[in-house]
Amino acid sequence: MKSIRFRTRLLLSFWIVLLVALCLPAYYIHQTLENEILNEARADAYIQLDFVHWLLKESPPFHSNQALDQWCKNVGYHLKYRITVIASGGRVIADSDVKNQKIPLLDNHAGRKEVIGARKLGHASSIRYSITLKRKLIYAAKNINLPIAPSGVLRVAIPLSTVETRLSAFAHKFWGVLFLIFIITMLISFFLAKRLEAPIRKTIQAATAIGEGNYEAHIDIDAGTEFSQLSMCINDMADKIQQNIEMITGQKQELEAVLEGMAEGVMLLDKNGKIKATNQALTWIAKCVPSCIGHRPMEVFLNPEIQDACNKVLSGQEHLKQKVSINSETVYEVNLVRIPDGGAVVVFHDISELIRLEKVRQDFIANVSHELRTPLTSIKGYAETLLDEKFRSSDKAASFVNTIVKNADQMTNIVNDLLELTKLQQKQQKPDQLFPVNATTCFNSAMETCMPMLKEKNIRIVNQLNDSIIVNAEENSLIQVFRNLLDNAIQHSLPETKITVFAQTKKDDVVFGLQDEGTGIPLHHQKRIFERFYRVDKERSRASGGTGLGLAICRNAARKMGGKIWVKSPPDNQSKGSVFYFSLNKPTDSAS
Amino acid sequence: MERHFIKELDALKMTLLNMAALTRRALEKATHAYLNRDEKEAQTVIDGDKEINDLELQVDNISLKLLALEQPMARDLRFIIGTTKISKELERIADQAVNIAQRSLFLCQHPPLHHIPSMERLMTIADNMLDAAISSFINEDFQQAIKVRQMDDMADKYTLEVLQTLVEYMVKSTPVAEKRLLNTNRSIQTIIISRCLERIGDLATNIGEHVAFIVKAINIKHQKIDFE
Repeated sequence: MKSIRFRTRLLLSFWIVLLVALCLPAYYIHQTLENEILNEARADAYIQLDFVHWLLKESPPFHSNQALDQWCKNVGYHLKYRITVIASGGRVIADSDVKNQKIPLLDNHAGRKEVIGARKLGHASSIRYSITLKRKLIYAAKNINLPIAPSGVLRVAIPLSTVETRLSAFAHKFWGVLFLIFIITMLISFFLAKRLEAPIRKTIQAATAIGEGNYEAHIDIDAGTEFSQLSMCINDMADKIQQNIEMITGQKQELEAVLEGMAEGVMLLDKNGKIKATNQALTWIAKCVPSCIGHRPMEVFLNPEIQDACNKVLSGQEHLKQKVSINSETVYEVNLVRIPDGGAVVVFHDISELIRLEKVRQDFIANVSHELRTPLTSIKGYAETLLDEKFRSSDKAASFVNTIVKNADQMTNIVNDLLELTKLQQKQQKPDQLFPVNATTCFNSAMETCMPMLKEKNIRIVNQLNDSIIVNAEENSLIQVFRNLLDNAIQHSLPETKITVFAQTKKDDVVFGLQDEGTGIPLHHQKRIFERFYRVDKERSRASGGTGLGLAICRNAARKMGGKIWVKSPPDNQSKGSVFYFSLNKPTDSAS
Repeated sequence: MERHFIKELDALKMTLLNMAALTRRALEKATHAYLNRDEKEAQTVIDGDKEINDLELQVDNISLKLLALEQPMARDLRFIIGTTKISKELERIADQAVNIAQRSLFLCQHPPLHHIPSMERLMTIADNMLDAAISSFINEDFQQAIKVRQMDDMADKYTLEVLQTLVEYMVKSTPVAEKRLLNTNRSIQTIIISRCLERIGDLATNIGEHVAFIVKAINIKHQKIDFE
C-alpha cells in the first residue's frame, strides 16, 4: 500500500467515495422503480382478470370443455394474452395458448402459487418464468364458479416484457451516467491530485536538499494556507538549521584551533578507554603508533602509570593529576578529568624544561659554593697555620703564602668569570654593535696566551684557517671564545697529540671547529657541558685548575654575537676525541 | 562467550604491554645508571625485576586459560602462543638489564674507565631494537618486525668494538700490579655489560620474529629471507 503513489491513492479514494455515493441511491431508486412498475403491472393484470371474468359470466353457458377452450382461444387472440381455466382438482380444462388436443397433457396446476393463493384468498398473483411460453409472465388468478367448472380458477398470464424493457432502459441510462460521472471525476481528481502533488513534490525536494546540507534551498509555493504555512515552517527550519550549523561549525573550528595551537598534548578517551581524538601536540609525545585513534593509552605511550591513571578516572574518580616520565629526559604533568557520561580528557603538560632548569639552578648553587669553598678551605687552613708564630718563621711559610695567593687567584678567577658571564647574559648585543673582525687574527692572539700550556704538553696546533676570515663579532669576545675552547681542548688532550682548527664558510655564516684527540665527552653529558660549573668528571677537571665556567662563557658570548655553539663527540668518522663548533654571522655587504 | 574471549585477549595484550613498558624502563634505567654512575638507579632496576617476573607468570596464566577454555583458532591462536613467547623474551631482557645494573653497581664503586663511544652507540642501538620490537607488536607491523633483525648486525659490530677497545686497554695498562688488577676487573665488568646489551639485541630480534609469526603466520627464525 505504501508503494502506491499519492496521486493514485487520491484517485482511488475519490472513486470509492463516488461509487458508494452513486450506487447506493441508484440501487434504491432501481428497487423502488421496479416495485412500482411491478405493482402497476399486477394491478393491470387484476383488471384484465376481472374483465375476462365478466366476459365469461356474460357469455352463454358452455356445454363442453371444447367450447370453453374455443372461447378462451378467441378472447385470448383478441386480448393478446393467455387465459387459462383450471378445474377444481387442478386440471386445466381450457387454455388460449395451448392446442386443444394437448390440454389433457398439461401438468396439474393445483400446485401453482397463484392457484393456491386464489383458492385461499379468492384471488392472487405471481411473477415467474413460464416453461410453456419460455418467457417471464405475470400470472393473476381468481376463483370462479361456472356450471362447467364448479369452484375452478380463472387465470390470465400477461407477458412482463414491457416492464423489463422499461427497467433495463432505466439501468442502461443509469450505468451510462455513472460511467460519465466516473470519467469526469477521474479527470477532475487527476488534475486536483496533480495540483496537490506539485507543492508536496516541491516540499520533498526542498526538505531533501536541506537534509543533504543545502540550507539555501527554499520552498516557494502558493497553494493554500496549509501549504504556505508548511513551506514557511520548512524555510524557517532551514534558516535556523543553517544558523545553528554555522554557529556549531564556528565553535568547532575555534575549539580545534585552540586545541591544535596548544603546546600541551590533549587526548579524549571513550567509555572503553580507547583514544577517540587527539590534538597535534599529542602525536609528538606518542611515538609508538602512527595513529593514536582507537588505541589504548598503554599502546601509545607504553607507560603503566598513564594507563593506571586513565583506568582510575574511567572507573569513577573525578580528576587526577600525576607526574609521569615517559623517558629519562621528558617528564609530563598529566591532568585527567572525567567526562560525566563516561570517557575522560587527558592533558599532557611538558614540564621537562622546568625540571631541567630547576636542576640546573640547584646544581649551579651547589657547584658555585663548592668551587668557592675548595680554595677558601685551603686559604683558611694555610692562614690558620701561619697564625702560629713558630711556623711563620720557618722556611715553609713562603710556600704557604704562595698557596694562599694561588687559591685567592683561583677564587678571583671564578668571581671574574661569573661577573663576565652575568654581563654577557644581561644584555643582548645589538647587531650594530658588532663589527667585522678578522677571526684568524683573533685565534692567533688566543693561541699566544695558551702557548705555555701547549709547550708543556707538547701539543701541535694544525691551523687550517685562511689568513683572513671576516665575521661580524666583537673582538674581545671572539678571542675569549677561542681561548676558552683552546684551553679546554688542551686540558682534555693527551700529550703529544694535535688540535685542529678549521672554518667552513656557509651562505650566511661561518662555522669554526676545534677538534682534539682527547678523551671525548659521553653522549649524555654533551647537552649539559655548556652549563655553568658542569663537569663531566668531577675529580679530574678540578685538579686541572679550570673555573668550570669556560664553556658557559663561550656559549653566552656566541649567542650574544648572534651565533650558536655545539659539540660533537666523537667527531664524524673518528673513534675518539671531540670537536667544538661555533657559528658567527658574516658581515652584511654594507658593513664590509 | 565471544565477547568474553575478546576481553580476555585484550587483557593478555595489556599485561604483555605492561611487561614491555617495565622492561623497556629497566633497560633505560640500567644504561642510565651505567653512564651516570648512579648506584641508586642501578638498585631500582635490581629491585624492579620481581614485578616483571610476576607479570610473566600472569601472561602465562591468562594464555593457558585461553588455550584450555576457548580453543582459539588461526590468528588468535598465534597471538596467544606468540604472546607467551614474547613474554619469555621480555623477562630475559629484564634479567639482562638487572645484570647490567649489577655490573654498574660494581663500576660505580671504583674510579671510572675512560669514555668508550662504541658503548654508547651499543646502548642506543639495543634501546632502539627493543623499542622497534615492541612497536612492531603494538602495530602488528611485519616490516618493522623484520627490521629489528637487520639492526642486530650493528649491535654485534659495536660489541666487538667495545671488546677490542678494552682488550687493548688492558694490554697497555700500567705495569703496577695492584692497578692492573683493578683495570682488568673494571674492563671485564664493562665487557660483560656490552655482552648483555648484545644479548638484549638478540632477544629483541626474537621478539620481532614472534611478531612476524603472529602477523603473517610464517616462521622466519634461523632463516635468511629477504622481504624488502
